[in-house]
Order: sequence, then structure tokens, then C-alpha cells
Amino acid sequence: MAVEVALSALVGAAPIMLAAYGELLLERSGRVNLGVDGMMALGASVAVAAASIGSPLLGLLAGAFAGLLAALFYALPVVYLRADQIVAGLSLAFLAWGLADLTASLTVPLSPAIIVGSALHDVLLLLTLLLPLVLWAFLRFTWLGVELRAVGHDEAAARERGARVEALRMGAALFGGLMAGLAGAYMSLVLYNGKYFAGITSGWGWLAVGSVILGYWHPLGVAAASYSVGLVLSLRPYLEAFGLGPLSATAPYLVVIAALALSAVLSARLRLRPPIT
Amino acid sequence: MEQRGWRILGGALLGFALAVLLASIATGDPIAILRSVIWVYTSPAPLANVALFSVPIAMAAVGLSLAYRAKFITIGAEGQIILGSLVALWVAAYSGLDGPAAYLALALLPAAAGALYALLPFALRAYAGANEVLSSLMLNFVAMYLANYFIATYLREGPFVITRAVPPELRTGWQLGVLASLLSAAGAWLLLRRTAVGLAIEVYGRAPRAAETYGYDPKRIMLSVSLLSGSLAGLGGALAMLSFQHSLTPMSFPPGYGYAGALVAWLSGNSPLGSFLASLFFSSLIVLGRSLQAAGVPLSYALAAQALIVLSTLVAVAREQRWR
Repeated sequence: MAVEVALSALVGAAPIMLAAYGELLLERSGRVNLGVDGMMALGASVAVAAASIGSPLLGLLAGAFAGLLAALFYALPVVYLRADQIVAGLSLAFLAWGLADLTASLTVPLSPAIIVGSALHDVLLLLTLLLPLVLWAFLRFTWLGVELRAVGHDEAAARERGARVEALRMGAALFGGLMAGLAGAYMSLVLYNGKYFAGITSGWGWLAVGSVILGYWHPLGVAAASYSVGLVLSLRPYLEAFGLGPLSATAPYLVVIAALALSAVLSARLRLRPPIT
Repeated sequence: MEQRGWRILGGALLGFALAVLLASIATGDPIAILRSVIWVYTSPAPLANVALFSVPIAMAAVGLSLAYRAKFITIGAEGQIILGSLVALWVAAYSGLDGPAAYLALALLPAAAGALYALLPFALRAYAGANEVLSSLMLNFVAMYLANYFIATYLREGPFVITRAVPPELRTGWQLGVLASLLSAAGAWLLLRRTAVGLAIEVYGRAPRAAETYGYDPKRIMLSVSLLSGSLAGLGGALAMLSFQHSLTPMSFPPGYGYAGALVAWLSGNSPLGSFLASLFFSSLIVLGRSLQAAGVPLSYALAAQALIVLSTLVAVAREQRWR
């Protein structure tokens, strides 16, 4: 019973977890991308289009690739031209929302139902569970990971020592786009049975960005935080049955906002400093 | 400064060209798109709509330009507009008020709703230290679901999930809204130039540390820009409701006037009067997008075009900074 609940929560949490891993890597390199939600929407839309032409696997890959391409709109101005990252990230979110709807309006799904096979779904869930370990090992034990953390910790010092600041941030931003696109593809293909509609992501991208902070920028912490957000999401049907109706949809946002406030107070009390500055 | 202005203009025009190109590719009919573009900017009917849709954007942008000057980066105007229009609808169609009482309530209550909602990201930032960008973005979705709840329950009318409509005698044209946004832009300009609050905003935004040393209280500054931007956005939502929305149905997606307002404030360099002009430009993209709806262009195209303009402006301005 408990295993079933935990597993069904994982299915709902997977897109937030996947998107959060990508944002985590970028934030460890010292940049924030607020466009996650838009890249998820584009991934969701492109995945449906590609899956209706080819296969669910093609859909997932195309969705992830679309997210990666969308990340360029953020990464090129921010990394190479030092443009305002908040403005660029938000603009990317709005642009990618529009592009996602536009893609959906151009393509007519050929097959009525796209069903992701259970083997493929298991691989995705396994990826969701194992990727934080991989990221943790990458950040801790590889030169590239240490270099990336150094860039996030003190850009000027890292540059002095020969760290490739721009290349690393570019790579991290593109990885973020890839993961957000995959997360969106998972949403439309798995959670909504191969359907895309305007507003499909309903702000889950920002729940992912919040999870990165709640997980204290540590891969395992982020996995735990984003999984917990997914748990709250999976409670919605119960809240709805409780008589809250559409109000139950506000629960994950309110929980994340409250948790963010609490964690900010706690880190100030404990004099914790985030690993990125 | 002069040069920066030209770069912003050039970037904006490039973004506009890209947006038109995008629509042409999407519909596969560039001639029809160009015809629509010319129609939107030359005919009286679409130009009146440009004025209409510019009002919530301009009201939000003027308030946000004050907040951004004080380095309080809230994106919460979207949710404040939603709540402002919800309250305005309740006053106009459900409260039973009429005459002067209705006008007074319509002027005050939506603004109060926006200001109250703006207190949340302020309190989270000032008393807990939580980042206002993220909390305000998520509060927009909370406001949307809150509105959906009221639309589906207390305000629902008839067999479909739709509210009552604003009665005809309380509806307004574009003139009142444009007057209100011009007045608020002028008011914000005067506030910045002539008052102590405006001085505090400017000083704190430019050098927070120094301002604190000289006795400025960051919390009071954040509180004042939150209340100002929240009430302006709420009033903008009310004017949108009275002038063109008239009723509400459940939303699966925020309408985007507040998001456009944030982009406009940034595009105008946080200038209140520049925000007014830029909001007319951004509103014209909404009208263009709506005129292309028959050709299969989705509603969110307008927001995408606005974002494209900001992104290309970002690049144009960033090049200047790099060369200096």
C-alpha cells in the first residue's frame, strides 16, 4: 500500500524532479533560468507532435531536444552578452509558451491515442531516481563538476585559474533545457495520455525552480524536495473530494511558498550560506 | 543615454519583424499577415482595441516600474489584475450597489484587493527573506485558481460555468482607461521627481547599502512600492473588466496583461511615461494576435511576440554594454 502510494506519487512528481535536476546544474554554475516552465510547455507540445508521427520514444527525444533549443534564447544573451538573467528567463518562458501553442495549432495528431509503453516508462522513472546520484558524483568527483562548482562559487577566481566559465554555463543551461523539455514530454505523453493543451504545465516549472532552493542545491536534496512537491500534487484528488474543488490546485504552490519562507528563515538563523552566490 | 534609446528602439523593431515572420511561417500566408499588420495600425476599430487592451498593461507597468526602481523584482501584477477584475465584477454585477456608491466601490475595492495581494510577496521577502520573483510568480497561479473557484461556485450563473456580466450602465469605453493610465503614469513620474517616497525609491534602488546607512528603511520602501504597484494593477484589472472583459469563465492559463506589464516596465527602462507608450505597442500585438486567430494563430502568440521583442532588445542593449 505504502509502496503503491510512493510509486504513484513518483509518477506525478517525475516531471518536476527532471526539470529541477537541470535547473540545479545551472544554478550550481551561478545562473538562474526562470524559463523552465516555458521549456516544459514546448517539450510537451513538440513531444505530442513527434509521437503522433513516429513513436513515443521519438516524442520524448524530440521534446527534450526542443527544450534544449529553447534554452538557447536564454543562454546566448545571458552567458555571452551578460544580459539580465531574470528578464531573459521570463521572456523565454513567455516565448516558449507561445511557441508550444503554435506548434500544437500547426500539427494534427495522426493517431488518436499515444501510449508510452510500460518498459519505456520504467526507464524514465529509473532515470528520475538515478540521475541525482549521477549528478552528485559528477559534481563531487569529476574535474568538470568541480570546475562548474568553482565557477558558481567565485566566477572571477575560477576564471583566473583557467576555468571555462562561458562554456560551462552554456553546457549547464542547455542541459537544463534538455531536462525541462524531457519533463514536459513526460507530462503530455505520460500524465495526459498523449494530449497537449494550452496551459498544460500550469506553473510546474516554477515549482521545479522552488524545489532547487528547497533541496539546498544538492542533487539528493533536490530529488527529495521535488519528490515531496509531487507528493503534495498527488494529494489533490483527496483535497478536491474534501470539498475544496478547484482550490485544491493551489495546494502545491502554497506549500512551496511556505516551505521557501521557512527555509529562508532557517538558513538565516543557522547562518547557512547557499553554495551559490 | 541617447544611444541606449536608439538601441532599444532598434531591438524592438527587430523583435517585431521576427514576430511577424513567426506568424507568417506559422500560417504559411505572409500576404495575409502583412495585410493584418497594416489593418491593425491604420484602421480606427483595431486602434480602439489597442487603446482598450493597453490599459491593464500600462497600469501594471507603471506600478512595476516603481517597484523595479527600488530593486523589488515582483512579477505579481498578473495575479493582482485577476483579483482586481474579480472584485470589480462582484461590485458591478453582484453587490447591488448603483450610482455614486458603485463608482466609489469600483474605484477603491479592486485597488485594495490588488494591494492586499501584493502584501504577500512583500511580507515573505521582508520578514522571511524569501525571494519575491519566485513567490510572486507562484502566487499568480494561486490567484488564478482562487478566481476559478469563485467563478465555479458563488459567482456562477446559469447552466454553464460563467459569471453574470457587467451591467451596460457600468461599462466604459477606452477613454476612461487611457485617461487613468496616463494619470497614473504622470502621478508616478511626479512621485519619483517631487516626493520623499520617490527619492527613497531612487536612492535605495541605486545604492541599497548607502541608503540604509543614511537611515532609509528598506522594509518601508518595499512596502510602499508593493502597495502602489498592487493597487495600480488591481485598478487595471477593474478597468479591463468594465471596458472589455465584462464576465469571467474559468482560466486554464493567466490572461497575460501583468506579464506583459513586467516586460513593458523593463523595456521602457522603468520610466512611467515610457511604460505608457510601450504598453500601447505591446497591446497592438494582442490586437494583431486576435486578428490572426481565424488563421489558426493561438492567443498566446501575443505574449510570445512581446517576449521576442524584449529578447532582441536585450541583445541590442547588451552589445552596447560590451563595447563600452
